[in-house]
Amino acid sequence: MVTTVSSTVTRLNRYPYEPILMSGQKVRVQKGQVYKYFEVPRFEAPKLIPPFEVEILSPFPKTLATLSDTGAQTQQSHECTEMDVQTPGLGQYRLIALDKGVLFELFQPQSTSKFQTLTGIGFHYGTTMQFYRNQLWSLLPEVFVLNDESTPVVKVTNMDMNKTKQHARLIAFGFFYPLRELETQIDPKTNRIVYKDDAGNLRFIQAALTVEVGVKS
Amino acid sequence: MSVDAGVDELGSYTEDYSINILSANTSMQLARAPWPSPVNKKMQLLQINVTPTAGTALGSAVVLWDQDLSNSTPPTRGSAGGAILTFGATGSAASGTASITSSLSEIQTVEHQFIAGVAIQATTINVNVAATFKII
Repeated sequence: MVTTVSSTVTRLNRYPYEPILMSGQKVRVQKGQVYKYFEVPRFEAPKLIPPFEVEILSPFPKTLATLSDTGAQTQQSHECTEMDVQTPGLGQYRLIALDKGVLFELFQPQSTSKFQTLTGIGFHYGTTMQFYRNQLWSLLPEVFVLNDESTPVVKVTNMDMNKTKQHARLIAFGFFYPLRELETQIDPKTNRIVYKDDAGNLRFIQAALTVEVGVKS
Repeated sequence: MSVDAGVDELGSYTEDYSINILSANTSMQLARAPWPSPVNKKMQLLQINVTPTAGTALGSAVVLWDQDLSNSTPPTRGSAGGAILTFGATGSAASGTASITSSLSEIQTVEHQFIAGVAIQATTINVNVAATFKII
């Protein structure tokens, strides 16, 4: 089984940024402890999601307070419904911070930091734009969304003690995979997961990518 | 200007700050460095423009040192009397006419880094100071 989840380095996490699924290939989408199997139908194909901006300080004008030297930082957050995709489908995004001096933290679901250390990892212009300009796209933060069920939440903190911010924008780009859910069951003879193909025959799932998404809170 | 993501340190970016000095020989803050957590960064001067906005400011000396005037936690380096960088608002601008008389870029200034912030004084009023810093 080939496995790729966000931030996991695999043979798929390589220099070019290209679709991880093609027509007829299967994907196991994991939401917490729950998972479902899907495939990209043979009459469909992955589609490019061209770069688009996600404004965290939305709607304009909204102000992000300056970085504080005492107490907790004043953050703003935004549920990025702009990144939801058509049902049934899977979205794969890489993220670039567009505005300087803003620290972005990605949560999926709202209470779980996407990039796992104990306290989570933020990213900003200085840690993403260099990778973009050097085409090291495999090092950009990545997130998957399933339909509109796993909307990412982004929290922002001002990195500047002198100026408030009126913009905190991300650029997201990637791929959309149209999906068909597979009816799966456990084969009593082999205890393996099988699915019904178009002809109604039970077939083993030979190989599937695993993609992890958060549950919408 | 050579500042550009892709050629500088990973994690760095630039910010611009300016101040109009309306009180002579008084300590003012051009910018505080983003030293608090979770940012934990310092500043490096890349470019500075010193402009007399009135003829009376010609000949003014502008001094910079490393201090956060609002918080004594970060260490201070230098003072008004012991500046780490000095610029002059020199030139021949006519009274009431703004004219950039000192404009120094990265390759012309010393690569000073500011841990706490950029404190500033000028010997006369009516001096505008605008600077670009790399936040590292």
